[in-house]
Amino acid sequence: MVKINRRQFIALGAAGVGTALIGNWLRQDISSQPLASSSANVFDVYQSSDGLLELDIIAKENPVNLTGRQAYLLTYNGQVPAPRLEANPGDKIRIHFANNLSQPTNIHYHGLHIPIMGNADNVFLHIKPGEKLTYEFQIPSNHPAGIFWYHPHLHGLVAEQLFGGLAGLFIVRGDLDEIPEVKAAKEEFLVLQDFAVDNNGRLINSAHMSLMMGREGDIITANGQVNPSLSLPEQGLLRLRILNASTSRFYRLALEDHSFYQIATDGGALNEPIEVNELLLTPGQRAEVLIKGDKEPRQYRLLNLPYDRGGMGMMGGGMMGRNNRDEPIVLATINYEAPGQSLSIPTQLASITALPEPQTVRSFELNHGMNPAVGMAFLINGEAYNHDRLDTQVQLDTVEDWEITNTGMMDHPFHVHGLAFQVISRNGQPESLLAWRDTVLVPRGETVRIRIPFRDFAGKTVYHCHVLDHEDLGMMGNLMINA
Amino acid sequence: MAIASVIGGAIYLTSAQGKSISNNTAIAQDTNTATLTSVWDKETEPAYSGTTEMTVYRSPSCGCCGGWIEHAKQHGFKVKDIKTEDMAALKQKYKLPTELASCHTTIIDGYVMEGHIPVDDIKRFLSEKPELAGLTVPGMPIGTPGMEARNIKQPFQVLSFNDRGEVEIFKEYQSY
Ligand SMILES: [Cu+2]
Repeated sequence: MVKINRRQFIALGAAGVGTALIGNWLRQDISSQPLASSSANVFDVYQSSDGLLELDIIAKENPVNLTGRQAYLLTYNGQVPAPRLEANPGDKIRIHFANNLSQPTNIHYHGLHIPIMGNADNVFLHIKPGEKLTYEFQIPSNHPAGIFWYHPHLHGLVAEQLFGGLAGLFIVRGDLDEIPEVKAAKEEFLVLQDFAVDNNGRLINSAHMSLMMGREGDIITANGQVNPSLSLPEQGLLRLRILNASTSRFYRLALEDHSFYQIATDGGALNEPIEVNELLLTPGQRAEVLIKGDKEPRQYRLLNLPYDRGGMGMMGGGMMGRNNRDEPIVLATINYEAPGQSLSIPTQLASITALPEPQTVRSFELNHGMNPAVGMAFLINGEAYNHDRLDTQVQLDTVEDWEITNTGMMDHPFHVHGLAFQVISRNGQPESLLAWRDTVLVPRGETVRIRIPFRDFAGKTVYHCHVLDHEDLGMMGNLMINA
Repeated sequence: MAIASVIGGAIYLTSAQGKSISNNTAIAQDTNTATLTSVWDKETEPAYSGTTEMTVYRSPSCGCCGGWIEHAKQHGFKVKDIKTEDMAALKQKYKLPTELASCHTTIIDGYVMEGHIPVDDIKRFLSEKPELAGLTVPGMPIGTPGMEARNIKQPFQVLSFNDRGEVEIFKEYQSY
């Protein structure tokens, strides 16, 4: 295979003005030597007290230290990632939100099972620049514990605003946190994001990003840092709670010499831990793992392994905006620390039961192509998103199966707002693992069947591909849940 | 003049008006119904007298390659349309560098024409008969022939490349 002559490209580049775009940033070789930076505990944390979590959140562009240089990112309260919010089931949430961005926006509370109308998880809200809005809702008292998150969701601008940095964790504390081994484990959060900025630290214009494939950035961060260090108590357990907050980038995680004991998916705890060597997280997905400190006490690298999410019919992709696809990237470094409490992996975590048989079965086909109304677009059942069209109407207190088929050439992670579902089968093979999810990967050429209980909240919301450029380019549908 | 740079496998297209880079703009906003007219319909190389027979290889699951074939036919090309599952092997066979790849691959007059190239550029290229391997529009920029969208036109460049993988700009489209 012919190697492209990079020198030629760069020489070409030097002739123009826009040249060194990201040259300096890339010299910070993020894919090789781990040079672990300080700590992973960088978040501002807001916890509820006496049943109330109340705070101000301001969306604004702000200078942020990104790999040792100043970058002008889009932030909540000036931070990337945004402050971590923590609440308990039953708590009231009151967020005084101000939009100081130059674009309209709103907030989606990804994975929370809360009202989808009014000033709650309402993606149809349109908060103009300079406007304020108070979000107010209650976490149901039977809400599962888990990792949820908040980010903008104004159709057409979602990818751009997330890629600017707007994302934060929303943690619900509960039963899982009270399991003795989990409680005693050392808890760390990992918010994975990627960025593309120019030499002046300015975000690269959407027009120059690979929208079809879904934009990816060269600067890959965990908690806003390149390769932060985390510590794992020798003989103890590290509880790693991971969010893929990237717009399009998939993360295929592995820790040198260690396996992961996965204890939770998007929707909270699994029934029992499952030991895995790798963990694939698509945009929007979350996972929790326990890591045993039972190896030789030294440093180990948490790696992002190559993953081909399709696109061009080339080995490994071969798309603009896709980088380092052939080699693992170090996301974080895990250091053993002084022996802590000796802990073992818990055996029982939750008691998820299978859902009853569905009343209705629906089919969804994902692809991209030419649509008479909008031209080139990403499509669900041949249609690009139309704000005014109701694509799917369901009845509250029913259970449905959705069979989602990807007939295209790229992978699409399918996300349903406000609800958790169980995967029933993949390509006709029954899924044995009982788990609650809100985002599931439908690889190109494959079919995934999910079972959704429509409970508690009626109203209009959406489902879409969580490669957010695909969502912005039409791969979204309106879902009406009738009372 | 704009440039293409490949860094770490990524191609970023940058404009000479570097100022525009900081100003991110909204994309894909409304979805009204309107007939789409393509800026690529106009014939700009009416005097072309070279080869008109081309073979297009595309994946059966490609949702946009067909649009490009229509564009080629409209401009007088006769297209042999071959659907194959193994585009990767095909691109390797024609020694197309990974960084320059798009969805479909066209072979004409012994040259490799990759992706959504405006076919009048292919006519210009073939008239010159250069000692090069072919042309490419890497990726799938929105707005290119077969990739027209109502309200998005991404700037793009048609690149020429040789057997050593060296690349030059053949034509660039900032606004069109
Ligand atoms: Cu998608």
